[in-house]
Amino acid sequence: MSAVAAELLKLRRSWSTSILIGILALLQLLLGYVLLYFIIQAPLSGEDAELERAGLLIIVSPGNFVLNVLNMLASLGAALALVLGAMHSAREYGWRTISTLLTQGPTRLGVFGAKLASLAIVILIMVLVAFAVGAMGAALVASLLDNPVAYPSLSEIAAGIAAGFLIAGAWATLGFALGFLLRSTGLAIGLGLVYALVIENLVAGLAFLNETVRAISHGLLGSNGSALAASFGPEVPGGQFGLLPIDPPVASAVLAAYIVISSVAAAVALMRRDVT
Amino acid sequence: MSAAETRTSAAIETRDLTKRYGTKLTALDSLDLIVRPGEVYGLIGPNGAGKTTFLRLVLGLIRPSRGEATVLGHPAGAPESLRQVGAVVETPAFYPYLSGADNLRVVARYSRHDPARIGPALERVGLGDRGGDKVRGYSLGMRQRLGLAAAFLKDPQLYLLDEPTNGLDPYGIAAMRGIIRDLANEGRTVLLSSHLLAEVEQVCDRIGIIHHGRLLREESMSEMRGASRLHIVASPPDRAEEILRAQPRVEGVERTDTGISVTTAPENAAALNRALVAAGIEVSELRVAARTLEEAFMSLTGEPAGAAAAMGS
Repeated sequence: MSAVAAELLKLRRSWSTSILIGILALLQLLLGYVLLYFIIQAPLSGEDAELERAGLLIIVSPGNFVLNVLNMLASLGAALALVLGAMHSAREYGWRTISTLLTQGPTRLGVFGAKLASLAIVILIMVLVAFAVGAMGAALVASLLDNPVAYPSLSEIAAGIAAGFLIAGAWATLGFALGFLLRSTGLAIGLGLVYALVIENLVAGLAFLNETVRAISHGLLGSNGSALAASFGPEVPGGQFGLLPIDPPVASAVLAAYIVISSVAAAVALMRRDVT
Repeated sequence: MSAAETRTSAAIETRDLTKRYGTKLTALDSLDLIVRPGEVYGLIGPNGAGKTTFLRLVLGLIRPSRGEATVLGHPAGAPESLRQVGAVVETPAFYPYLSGADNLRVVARYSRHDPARIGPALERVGLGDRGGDKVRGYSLGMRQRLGLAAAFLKDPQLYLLDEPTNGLDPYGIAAMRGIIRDLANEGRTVLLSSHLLAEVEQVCDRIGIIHHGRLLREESMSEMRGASRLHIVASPPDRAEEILRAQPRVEGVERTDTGISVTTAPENAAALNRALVAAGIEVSELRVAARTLEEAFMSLTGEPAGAAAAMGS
């Protein structure tokens, strides 16, 4: 436990932790509510404008804030979580502090466990902040629109937080593993973001054109994260546009599998390799 | 001390310790080395000789390709040994965005030691008033001292100090020498790895010379210096050399640029002086000239003159 406390001290004192969580909160507020509020308030134009505005009103409503937050966590939040995870492991190599940690007494597995546990705590805080900001943003927009502030049930919020933790945790653990495997902060973040923002989207975009690509896409982090997030919204016959229809339990299992595989890969990299 | 006793009580013992990188580079080659409890052991050698590789193996940061190392009776890298080892390897690595004190707090929590020791440890290395500053603003010498403070936190039995005077000013070097002597007086074991031969010569009880990954020699400082010599300046030198060669208990006579070097015990000085004066030779200088560690090092490694002084460059 004292090693976890040491890791939390490092994370707490690091500006990058606060900045990443702060960016997520800001994006949640700006892109999830403020921007949509201004679109809703803007003059209508086009045939489907009323329909579109009705759809936006549903998205920003407090009753739908869990979906709103999860969508943010599954997209931009995923990239931020990946960066946080990669920095948490790779910076130890950049600063060579991994040697300092490994010569203090705990086993390598102990050091790994402390780092993973502290990352999980920070990711949970990140998710809770996103939910808190989402709830406040929804209330703000609802009050500006003179709509009632009615949140979903506590059980749905709790389930949403768990899903958000699973989504952000899977991406953070992937970054964490990349950091240990590549031992370079820049390379881990760079490759991680290329995968998250380019490769995943490319494959997901082609999934509707080819059965094989579709099958591959079913195993991707982004597809499963988005599908899990979408399961907190209204049911759409035939599935939501642009999303693969993956059952929530399957999506959760795939995300959990990513966490386990990434953690094992990171642990093996730390335990088996020389620290030079 | 019997071999068996040495094996069980050694602070560090390595047997056939070998580290290879790929098929071409052998960083450490069949190293058999013993560091006894309570001694200050100097490991010297040029850059790339294998000193840091040895320390990393002892700390369990890298694994041997062959052989084994035990530290305080436990396998190298085992938690039981690491908790009793304070190490400063190369330039100590710390979190630049944390203060010196917070870095020590991280170390204390990882090593499960009382954070109350942080203040005294910073005071002991002269960083008492800078502990609250971010490490990114520290000079190399300050980082070096913070590394030592981190080692003090653990109050360890064994100190592994790799080039501990790197970046220190002359006052810092003198203070470091004092600290090492204090540790020795407290009965701690110190393994000092350094390229500064004069520094090693001043504080170490025994030394090991490592070159191209091999331990060339391991013995006490007095053994390393070898037989004492007398430096004599006399005139005429040819006749003086002739007289000296004929004296009993003289093991060797050699002409140097500045005089004559005689290999013999220092207590023969008066007898040799008498013999030379009796033969009508004018003796203008006669002094004991022990072999320096640098000379011993160069004779063992076959490095050209001046190479030893430039080992660390």
